[in-house]
Amino acid sequence: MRKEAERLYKEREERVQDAINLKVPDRVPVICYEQEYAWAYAGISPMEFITNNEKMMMALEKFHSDFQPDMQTFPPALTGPLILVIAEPCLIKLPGEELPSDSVHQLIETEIMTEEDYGYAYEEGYMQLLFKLLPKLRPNVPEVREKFLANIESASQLFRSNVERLEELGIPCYAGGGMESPFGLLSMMRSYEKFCLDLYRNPGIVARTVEKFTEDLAQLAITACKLVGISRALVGLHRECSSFFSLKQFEEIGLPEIKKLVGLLSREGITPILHCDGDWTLNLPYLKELPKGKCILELDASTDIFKAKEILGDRMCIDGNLMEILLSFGTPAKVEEHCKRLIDVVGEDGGFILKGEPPREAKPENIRAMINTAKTHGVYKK
Amino acid sequence: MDDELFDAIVELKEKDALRIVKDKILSGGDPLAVAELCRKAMSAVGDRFAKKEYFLSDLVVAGEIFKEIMEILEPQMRAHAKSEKKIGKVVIGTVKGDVHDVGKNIVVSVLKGNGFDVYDLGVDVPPQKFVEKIREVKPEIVGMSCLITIAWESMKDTIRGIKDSGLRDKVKIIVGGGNVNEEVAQHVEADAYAKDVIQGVTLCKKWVRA
Repeated sequence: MRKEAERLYKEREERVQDAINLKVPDRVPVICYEQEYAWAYAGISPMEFITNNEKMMMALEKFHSDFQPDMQTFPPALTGPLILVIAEPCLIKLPGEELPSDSVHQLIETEIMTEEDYGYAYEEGYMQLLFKLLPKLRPNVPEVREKFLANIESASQLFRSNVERLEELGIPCYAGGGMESPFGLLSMMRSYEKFCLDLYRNPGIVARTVEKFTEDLAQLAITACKLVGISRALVGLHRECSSFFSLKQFEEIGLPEIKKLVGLLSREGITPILHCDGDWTLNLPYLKELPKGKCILELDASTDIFKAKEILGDRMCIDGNLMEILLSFGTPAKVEEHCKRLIDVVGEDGGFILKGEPPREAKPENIRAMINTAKTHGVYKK
Repeated sequence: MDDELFDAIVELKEKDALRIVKDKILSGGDPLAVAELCRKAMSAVGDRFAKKEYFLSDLVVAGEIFKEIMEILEPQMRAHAKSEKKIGKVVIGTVKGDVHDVGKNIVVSVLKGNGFDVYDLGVDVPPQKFVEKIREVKPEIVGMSCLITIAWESMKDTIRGIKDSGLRDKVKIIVGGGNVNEEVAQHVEADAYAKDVIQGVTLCKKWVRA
């Protein structure tokens, strides 16, 4: 690693780590989710971005060189249509096939897992269930199990070298590995409405399957983090929140699941980044039960992030919340105003990371405004 | 027994509700009166949602109970050549380029539970299909949903298509879905945005003055 890149890498790591440890860093760290934007910005197709390693890396390097956020969100990996089933076990429509070539891939949530599959799921665990369902999930792929394993093998070889390539440029990864929560996965495989009825008619079987999957999935995230030497893991949560299920259901299944996941990951020295899509405002008080300084709460614009600071600011680092609509329809002045408010209120006394999730429609000047505001207004007075 | 059925639905007691409905029908009860009672109960479920006592998953369960009850009542109504009075018509769909339908399907189920005649066009619906259905059934309301950002322009195109066909002033247009807010509603020139299913259905009821 060149000297300057090495310095930059260390500085960025420390900045983020200080925020996680609820300390005051030199300035507010800023991270920008690249996945839905970098390909459009670089002028390649979304399919090229998930199937061609060189083009994907070129797009990411251009993104980082032009915008200079503090970190890459996730280790660049070829998440082709087959590998996607691990985090998104649904039927899929692909750009350039069933969808226009400039579209993003889309999931069709239908009953892939039957009610009878619960028994098998509980006995055998998540990956075995996935293998069982693979022919249903990707009906047009012959010898799907073999192809799936071969894809994972080749992607994991590139995984490490891609991370090293970014390291050479002074860019650390925010998360080393990741997982979707068991509750979310089951809900997608059963389909939302069926899963609502399962929880109403037979909550016990859902609870014990979630518990069983929790260990399997935590292990996947731990393995990925160890492979690339990064001690933060993304945990995708969305169905747990009150946008989808009741607080009673959260108390009975969602909260115990999150507590167990946080425990399993932090036991291995890994900080879970709780990526909370949807409106978590009513769920926030429950998260006080999580251990102090052991996780990051990542919020989108649906949750009241100021309320999160009030309730949880002394317990966990918060990141968020520049989302699709503001970054696309907003102006640089509007973006700057929102970022300043976040920095002043949520970022007061540290423990905050400014994070954006631009879609392909985002205006580059808005992304620039977000990153510049963190680097200027976000400097802490010592 | 009326109170008992009302309470069973509102408290989401599926088995009790179905048992009471079957008993009522067997003892010669009027299926239309039962259907009307169910609608009142569904409305009360919506009130609980608005007060944050109930959540989306509770609406799904209530919708399922309602569907099961209607499956019992409909053959009875047909046998007596009776049909329910609907309070309005809604044409609804996920716009072109977007195939997500979880939210839209729940809206359809709750609209039906509240007495609307619903024409669900499904997902990835091109503007022309909306226009044709509006011409055919003459709804008071058109609902559009999308989850992904690429569909913002589709919503705009669809509303433009409705306008170009001279139908824009004949319908109220309501939009919703993940990644939709007031700003998006204005951008696509809809009449309203609803942040959740009950807010949307309440507005639809207001529009048809039910």
